[in-house]
Amino acid sequence: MDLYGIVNKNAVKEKKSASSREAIITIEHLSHRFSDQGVGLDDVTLTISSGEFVILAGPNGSGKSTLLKHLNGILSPTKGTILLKDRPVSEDLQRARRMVGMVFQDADSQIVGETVWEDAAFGPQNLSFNKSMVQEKVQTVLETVGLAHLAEKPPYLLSGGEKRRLAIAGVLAMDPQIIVFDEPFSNLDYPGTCQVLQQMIQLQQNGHTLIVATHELDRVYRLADRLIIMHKGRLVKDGAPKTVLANAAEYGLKPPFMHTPVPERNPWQP
Amino acid sequence: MAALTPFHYRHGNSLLHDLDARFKIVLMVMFSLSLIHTSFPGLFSLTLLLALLFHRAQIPITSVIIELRYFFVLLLVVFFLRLISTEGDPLVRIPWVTLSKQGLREGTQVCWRLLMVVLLGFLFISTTRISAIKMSVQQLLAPVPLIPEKRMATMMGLIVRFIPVIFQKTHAISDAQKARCIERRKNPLYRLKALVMPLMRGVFQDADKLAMAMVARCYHENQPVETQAAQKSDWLVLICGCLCCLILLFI
Repeated sequence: MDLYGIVNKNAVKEKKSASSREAIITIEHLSHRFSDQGVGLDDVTLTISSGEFVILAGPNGSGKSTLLKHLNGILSPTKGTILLKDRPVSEDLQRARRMVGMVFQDADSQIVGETVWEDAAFGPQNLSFNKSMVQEKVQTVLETVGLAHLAEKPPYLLSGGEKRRLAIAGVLAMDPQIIVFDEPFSNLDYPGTCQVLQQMIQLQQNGHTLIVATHELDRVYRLADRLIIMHKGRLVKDGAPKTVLANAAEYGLKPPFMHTPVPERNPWQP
Repeated sequence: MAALTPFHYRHGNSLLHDLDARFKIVLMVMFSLSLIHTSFPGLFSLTLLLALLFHRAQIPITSVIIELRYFFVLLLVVFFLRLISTEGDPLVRIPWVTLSKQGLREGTQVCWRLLMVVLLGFLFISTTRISAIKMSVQQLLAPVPLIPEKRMATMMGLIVRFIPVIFQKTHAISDAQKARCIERRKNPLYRLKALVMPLMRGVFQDADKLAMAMVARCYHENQPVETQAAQKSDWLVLICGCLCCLILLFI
């Protein structure tokens, strides 16, 4: 399997221009302070359009995960507002959680079911869907992520890539419009990374808005419409990936190979 | 690694697999209570019964013994404490300590009983789906006042679900410590502390992440309760189990 072979922009359906898309997430002056007075987010203002593929990059502790947890109301802001299609997240948390599906960094700790099928059914059951609807949803999402043949398998026996795909299935079963990934490539081998990337391409083709928080830019930057760099809780760069990548190293991010100043040099070397 | 961890549900079609989980819980509690007064012939009979049930449920007893090795250390400590603290006819005299026949008998009996209780729980977990445990706990606790049965059921279901994950974590921590020559430390308490502290920290952190992931997937306690109906065979097994408990108490 060729990692970059699957990341073919031509394969992704033609995207609408950013100006013609409606805003699906609007964040205004968002700040978050932790109980120990540490700054999680500092005056973040951001608009994300429907169907956009956004990378949220930044070194550890830059506030990426904190920002993502505000999108579905897991964390509440100290200051500022978050609107999902013009309605504040805090107004209806269930709507926010249905609208924003979150795939966490550690797949093991987010899988609650005894079998693959039961885990995918967890969300729809919480939403009180009837039995036949749960059955239909689970079957559809397991087929979408290619795990239908493993429906009866215990999740902890799956590979890393399969677990991540199950986590994606778990959120897809709730029909989200936005899917956020928190460090989706951590602890994944090459095939696992390819599987997750393929899934992302498919999700974008289906019209989902994707937000991927990562510091591993080289794996995903070719897919994205937009790259946002966060540093110390602030949003410091925002634009097309090719433009923003030139400044990535300034903020503690490893630029992808083709964007290193001296291509012969190992980009991992300081 | 996970496949080698025996504390998880194993798919099968034995009598225990088919038995209603509520009846299994009741039987497990009855057997555990009757063990309080069971003497050696009873313990021997129960051991044979459990060996038969393990065999029928296709659970390899060797992997059970390997996984329970830390529990055997605990049993050894209990045995030793009983041995030195029970007075009676002297068996061996060491300065300051007298080991008695009664101590030997008491220690063996107590450890055997504890082992039987653990094996009963082990058998229950290996033959019962988590969803069935959750449903049964909810149904059994529903008539009890002041107990939030739905929350209790979810908690129990999650505990059972995460036993294999905790075992994987234990193996990983243990391997990492072996790589740093923990085996050169002869003090078992130091080794236990070195294992338990990072394990507990990891388990609590995972519990936090799990709670967050459940909230993100709209978890709430007011889901409709699924009900299960008992079969004739369940009642028959319960009656047989009651008789066995009575026999254990009187032999």
